[in-house]
Amino acid sequence: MKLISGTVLQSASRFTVKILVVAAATVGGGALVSSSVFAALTAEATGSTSVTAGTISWEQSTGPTGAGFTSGITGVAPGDIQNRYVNLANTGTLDGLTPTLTIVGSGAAALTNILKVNIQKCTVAWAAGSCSGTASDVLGSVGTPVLVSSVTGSALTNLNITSASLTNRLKITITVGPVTEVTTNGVLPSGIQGATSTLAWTFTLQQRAAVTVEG
Amino acid sequence: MQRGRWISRNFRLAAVAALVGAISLAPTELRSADAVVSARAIPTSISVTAGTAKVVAGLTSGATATGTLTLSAITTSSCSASTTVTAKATSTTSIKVSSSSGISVGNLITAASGISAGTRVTVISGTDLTLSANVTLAKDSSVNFQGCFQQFFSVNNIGSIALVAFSISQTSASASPTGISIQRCSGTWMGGSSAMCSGGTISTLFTNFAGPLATSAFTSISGTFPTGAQAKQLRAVCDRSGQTTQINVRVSTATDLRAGITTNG
Repeated sequence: MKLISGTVLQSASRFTVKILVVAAATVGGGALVSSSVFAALTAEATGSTSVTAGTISWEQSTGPTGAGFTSGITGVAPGDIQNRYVNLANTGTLDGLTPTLTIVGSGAAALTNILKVNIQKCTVAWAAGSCSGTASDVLGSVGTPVLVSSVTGSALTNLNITSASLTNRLKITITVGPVTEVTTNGVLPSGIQGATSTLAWTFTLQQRAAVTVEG
Repeated sequence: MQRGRWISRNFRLAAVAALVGAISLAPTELRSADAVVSARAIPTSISVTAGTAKVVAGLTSGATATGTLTLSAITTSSCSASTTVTAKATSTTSIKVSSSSGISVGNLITAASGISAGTRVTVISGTDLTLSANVTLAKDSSVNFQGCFQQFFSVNNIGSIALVAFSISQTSASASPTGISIQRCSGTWMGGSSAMCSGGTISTLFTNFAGPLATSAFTSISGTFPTGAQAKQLRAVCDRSGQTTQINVRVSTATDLRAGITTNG
């Protein structure tokens, strides 16, 4: 009987140990991966806090002059300059950071390769190509435009990028660079003449740096 | 032995339980601070098409055919002279005239009789002329000379870009000593059999250019040449009829296009 009692007690003891091992392991395993995340779960405070994410919206629209990017360019010759006017604004709730531009050319590479661009911003609306306010360079400069083919994630300067900031009134100047082609007896050489290049423009704005708020 | 199995069994159980706990309590998404947010304006595109710069030479102001223009059998005379023979000539190529004014090498010579068709002046020395065939003329006979055989042609801007210049060259099959000159008029050619340049002056691009099959260098002609229009009317002229020449024209984007323009659109 003593022996039987001893056996029963031993079985009960083993079962209890198993339960304890499982429970400890379960809690311990979870704690290994989420101790930092759920540290607050140990607090006693009650109530709720709503968290709403901010927005960052970089909107481009047609400027006050012409039809912006929707107006194609035709019949250009070396030395020609075409201006297009667009607006760019951060209409989100988060401030922006590091505005960039990428231009991807497709079609006639020979033509794309001689196209240059510079962008200016005016504090007031452009009128007949002129800025009656203060103009500043956003990309390149009037005297030194940059090759379109080199505009890949290129930094843009002097833009209003904070949330709900002033609209950036941009004049985008596309210049056709020099090229030498000779047409004899009306037969066009293989080159830029009559060729078409399509330029895809992507303006990008990063969110501001993350901040820590005590509240 | 039995204790060993017990330990092994409980160790496996503990391991399974630990995995269950880890999976059930692990975070299921990244915190916002871990994501990078950026915005892109809707990509947009703009097409850029280059214009064309090209000219052609043709017989009319509306000609658009590409390729070399061949001016063949130029027989229209636009200048003439008349004089008299001062001495009798019998079956000879040499005659003496009262005046050689207006007579050029290559001119056709005609008379009422005694001169074979197609006879030309080959040498002029004062009032002594040498001809290409024997003639028989009485003293004081009237002789007529025809020269300035001409053919007008047009250089047309058929491109989409206005030009400020183009270049022209000719390949002549004319035999020496006579050749073909290409002339321009700063005013307006009267056309037809007239060599008149109304409101301007005549200048020669290629002087008496002679072959055979000699090709001149390209010579630039400047001016204002709008698109879709005749750029220039020119004249090929020679003192010998029936000559042939080829005209080539070209445009360089480096030097012949209008100045660049700025467009706001």
